Amino acid sequence: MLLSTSSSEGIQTRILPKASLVAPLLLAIGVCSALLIAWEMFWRSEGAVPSYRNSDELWSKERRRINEGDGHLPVIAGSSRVLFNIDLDTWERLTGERPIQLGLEGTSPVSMVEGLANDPDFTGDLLIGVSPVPLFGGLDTRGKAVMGYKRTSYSARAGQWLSELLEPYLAFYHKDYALFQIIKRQPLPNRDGVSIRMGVRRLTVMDQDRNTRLWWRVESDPEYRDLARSIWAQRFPRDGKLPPPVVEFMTSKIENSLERMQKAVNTLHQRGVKVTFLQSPASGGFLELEQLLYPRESTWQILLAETGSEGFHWEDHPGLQGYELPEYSHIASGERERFTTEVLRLMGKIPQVKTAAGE
Amino acid sequence: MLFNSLTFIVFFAVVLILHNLPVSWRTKKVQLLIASYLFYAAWNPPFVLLLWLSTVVDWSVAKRLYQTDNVAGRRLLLAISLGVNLGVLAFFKYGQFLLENFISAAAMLGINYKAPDWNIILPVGISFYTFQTLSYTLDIYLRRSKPSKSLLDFSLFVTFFPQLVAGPIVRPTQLLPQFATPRRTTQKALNWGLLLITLGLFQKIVVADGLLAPVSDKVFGASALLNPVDAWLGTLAFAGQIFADFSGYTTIAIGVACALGFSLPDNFRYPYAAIGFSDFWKRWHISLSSWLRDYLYIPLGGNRKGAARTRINLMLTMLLGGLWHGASWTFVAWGALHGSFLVAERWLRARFGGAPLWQTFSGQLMLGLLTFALVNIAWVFFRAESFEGAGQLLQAMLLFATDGQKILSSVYMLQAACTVSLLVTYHWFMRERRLEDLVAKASPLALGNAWGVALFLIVITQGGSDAFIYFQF
Repeated sequence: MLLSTSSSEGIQTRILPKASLVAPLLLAIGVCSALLIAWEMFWRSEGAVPSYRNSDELWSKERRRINEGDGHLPVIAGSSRVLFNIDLDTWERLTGERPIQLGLEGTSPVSMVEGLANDPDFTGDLLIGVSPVPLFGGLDTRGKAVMGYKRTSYSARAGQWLSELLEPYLAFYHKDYALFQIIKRQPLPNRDGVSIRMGVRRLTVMDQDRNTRLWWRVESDPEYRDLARSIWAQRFPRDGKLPPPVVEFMTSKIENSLERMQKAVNTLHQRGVKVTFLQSPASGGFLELEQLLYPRESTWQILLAETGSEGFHWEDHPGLQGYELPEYSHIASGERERFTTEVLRLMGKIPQVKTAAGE
Repeated sequence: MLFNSLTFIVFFAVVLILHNLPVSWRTKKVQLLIASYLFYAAWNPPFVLLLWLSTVVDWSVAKRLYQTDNVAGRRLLLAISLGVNLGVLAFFKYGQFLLENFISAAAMLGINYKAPDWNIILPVGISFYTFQTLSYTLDIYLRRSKPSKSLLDFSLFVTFFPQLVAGPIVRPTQLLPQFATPRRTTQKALNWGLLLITLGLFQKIVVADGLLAPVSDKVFGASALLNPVDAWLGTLAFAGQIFADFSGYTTIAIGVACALGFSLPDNFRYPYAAIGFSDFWKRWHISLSSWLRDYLYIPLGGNRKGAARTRINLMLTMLLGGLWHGASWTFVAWGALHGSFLVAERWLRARFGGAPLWQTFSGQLMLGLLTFALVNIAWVFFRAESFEGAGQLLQAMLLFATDGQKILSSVYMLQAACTVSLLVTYHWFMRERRLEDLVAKASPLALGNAWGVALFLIVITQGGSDAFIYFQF
């Protein structure tokens, strides 16, 4: 940017534009405000609702609670299923304790659990959500949050605090509505040979402590639900098969994940931390994908055996079955209460009452 | 603290209010100094100690340097300043690089040396403030200026927050006198500062991070051999990104200083309209190139010791300029390329510079576009993670391999092509113009609307507070 200075005895003095900028500044504030109001109204008309942002800083803030006096509370680690399916309000109502939610979508919980194992401040119970693709595939979509939380600067902490003042009021303040996300998903035809996957669209609404549920459009708007399904379907097997390089890549980290998890859980056990694994239900192409890549006998069962932990797989417990999964992978928001109650019952956190399923 | 963050907006508002309170000039300077330390500490508090070290050492050394006439004593004092400043820089910035090269050299001699992990965090902006404080001591050693009479002013010179972490690298003669006498912020300067801040944020958030970074990241992150179109678009996108990122930072820095009543020098003058490389370096990162010229190239002899020595001096200056940017041989290669371009240009200019064609607009445009193309070739080394990656990309760009993979979507291709074309056209349009004149001539209606739309685009881009590229240098 060329700007101008005039030199006077070594002192640089900026030359200012001759015109007054008061009127343009006031007009700019007016124009920007009007456009922002219109933008907010547009997104609200599209069904958008304000939500806390699922940012790395918010995760870091929750993670730091363990070192700031809340280390005795239960912690939930895992990927999107345990993040979207467990209702913290229900958990708190039934047990009197509100857990710390550390689930991160598309991210293996191994690093999180290793971090907890190395953190003597953590003494609560640990529920680890098992989403086979992230855990056994070693996915690391939000790994930066896990690895970098200790180094979160004071500036970033202040930024998070300020952002949280705005987030509950602005529907457009969501990464799915960021300008270049919108431009990126414009359906222009691509050159031959260029294969571009659609990115995951908005799926959830999040509270300040990361209590998360599916967004109403995923559940009730058939067009949007189909879009969400079609985005997942890009990863699904066709005719029950996946290309061999994909299978090789997706299964190459199973052993490493199991080994690291075993080590971390052993450390936690030695410290007296109770560890429970939970595999939530899936359906459609997701289920097919998981059964193809990560059959339970070579993943889930080994995980439980090697870590010596208890675990609840949805296929084994009628109370964990029969839920509405609008996009094959996550439970509808209205059913989180029942699911959370079932999980707590299985964990022995609430009295064993016979369920409608007769379990 | 990043300029492109909510934290900075609040921080700056508070600083602005405090700076305009009816208190003494000394109190205002103390406020600015505390604000500057807070600004730096908000990222990593312990590294404020490095700022203090630099301040104390150069303050003390410069004072004694000025009082001493003994040649040996002066040299010793200069060595202390250079040793401390460059020692700290070498440890934090080049420690790992030196260790890796030592291990490689040992391996070549058959010695299998295993070093412990080098887990040292690089303090943000260390190269910038090291060069700034060095210029203070060097100026006094070279008897170009007198030491500051006030430790407060000198401390503020070292830490002045608008330009602390990514320049412009300000000379003592440019900034210290501004602290010596009270300066008043005028309404005009405040508004101009706010406009510059908006422009800088637009460059950083919308152009660099929004439009161009995704394209260059995709291309430079690819492991496969790419198609020439993708390779060129990714490199052009990086050229635009690094300009918008760095120039955006500088524009915000100048705007913030202006709003507080201070003047910082230019760091960019539309570099992508440069005709030749000596012109490019008068337009790109001006404060660094002039620093290298005054404290390295000229002391080495500059162009006063014959053609061969001039070429060597140019190469040495550019190699060190490359290494200043980062502890990697790819940066050295980038510097070497620029050094070679400068040497070649001098040679060509001496032989063919007088031809009438070069004075015509089409001749100038041709040379300008050739310069831009070569600047892009050099950027490949600057951005690539390794020589292998750079080589692969250059193979495609220079058409040695044309059957590489196509990875860019049509949206990304359009983003890169349109943005870079507009940017280069804008640079040519503004080549001999000044922004202040353009703004003065614009109608208030058009300016207000453009300003408002720019603010709106900044907000809805929802930038993720990505750090400025030059912070790492």
